[in-house]
Amino acid sequence: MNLMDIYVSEVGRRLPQKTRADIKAEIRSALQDLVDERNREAGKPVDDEMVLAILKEYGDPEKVASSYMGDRYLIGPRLYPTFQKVVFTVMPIIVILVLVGLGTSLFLAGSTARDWIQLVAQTIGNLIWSVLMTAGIIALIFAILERTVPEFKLKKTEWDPHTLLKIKPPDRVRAGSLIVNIFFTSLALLVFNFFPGAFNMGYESGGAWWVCFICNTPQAVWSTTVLSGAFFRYLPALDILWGMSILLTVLVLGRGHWQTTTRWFDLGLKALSVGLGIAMLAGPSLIGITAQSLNAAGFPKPDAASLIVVVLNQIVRLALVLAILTGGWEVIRQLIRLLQTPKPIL
Amino acid sequence: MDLDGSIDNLILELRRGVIVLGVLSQLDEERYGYALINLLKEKGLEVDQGTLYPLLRRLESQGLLESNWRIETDRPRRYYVLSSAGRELLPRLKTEWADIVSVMHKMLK
Repeated sequence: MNLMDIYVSEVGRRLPQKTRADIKAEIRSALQDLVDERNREAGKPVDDEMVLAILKEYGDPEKVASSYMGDRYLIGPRLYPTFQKVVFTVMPIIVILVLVGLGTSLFLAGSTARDWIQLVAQTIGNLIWSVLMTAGIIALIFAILERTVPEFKLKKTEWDPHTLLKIKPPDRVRAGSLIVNIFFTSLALLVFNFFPGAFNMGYESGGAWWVCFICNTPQAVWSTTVLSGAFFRYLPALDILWGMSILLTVLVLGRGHWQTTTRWFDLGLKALSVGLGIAMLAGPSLIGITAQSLNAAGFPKPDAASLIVVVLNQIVRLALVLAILTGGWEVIRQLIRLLQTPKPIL
Repeated sequence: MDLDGSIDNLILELRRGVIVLGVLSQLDEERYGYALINLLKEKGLEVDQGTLYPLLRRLESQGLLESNWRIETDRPRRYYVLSSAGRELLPRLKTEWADIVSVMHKMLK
């Protein structure tokens, strides 16, 4: 990919999909006209420095994209690529979570076709609601960031086309992943602190069983939270880690780049998270239901009760092991990078 | 905002309307962006690429211009020309402009 392609692509990624290809083609054509002109003037083929001068003259990709979008936008070209990334990252996760919920409910539901159809219809409704709500929350977060975070509004330094040569420098903020981090961490803080019984299961007088997340169950004869008291004893420590993580992320987003101090702080938080994960793995079960409690409550499939409890425990343990391994790997990788002498990017 | 920034903004606002009329007036025949920039420059109106291309697209979306891609010397170029609505509007804009100039001339004497 040559410099001109990178430049056109940098403009394009800030434009809406609908007009992107057409505008990119036009910019490429305009740049080529400028190259031809410089070619004629210089009497020799243009070199990289001349191309850089042309790109500088054409302008900062962000401003060029902005000029095509006008001034009336909820999320401007500065944040649009990140917004797009966040939506494409979060939406599949939401769909997977809803489908996992459907799978669990189908497993526990009665065997009639009517029950199954009802559950699928409910899931479709939940899916639409969840997707719309998530899209709304993400758009709101970005609209607020667009108008409040100073670096996004007041970046006044002159654009230097040489920055095109620095492809993904290690300290550049990947705003997409940071905002996804804020979204899910805030969600975890909200759910576990304000809806402690959010993940619950039970049954109604008619004999129908359910496993749900924040559901209204006025007809419940019996219900229990899926998570155990042991989990909630870890919650204050988790809250501190999540809160610090959000503060750090907002700080890094505001600065626009990682610094050595924020890297070390991030490393510390990751190491503490790994430690807490190991403690949770070694400690008592995080699942609050047992085969006995299920059967005592009249669970309709006694043979399956112990299996459900085992599966739930194994899922939690597996998730913890994965979190510890990926977190541990990340800590080691980041530690090595921080201890190494920085190398020039160019 | 400092004084220089304010002045720049005021000049930009003044030029904005003029550029639209200048561009429309030169598109009675098909021209591509770069040729149009040079033509406007020759006639004394300097417009940078970052202003012209988005403006051309906006005028096209308003139905005042039409465009088509053509392959020339092994690469594509987008040509713009006045649409029938643009041709209808241009004389009215010219009259309006003449009135504005006349009024402002009297006011600034």
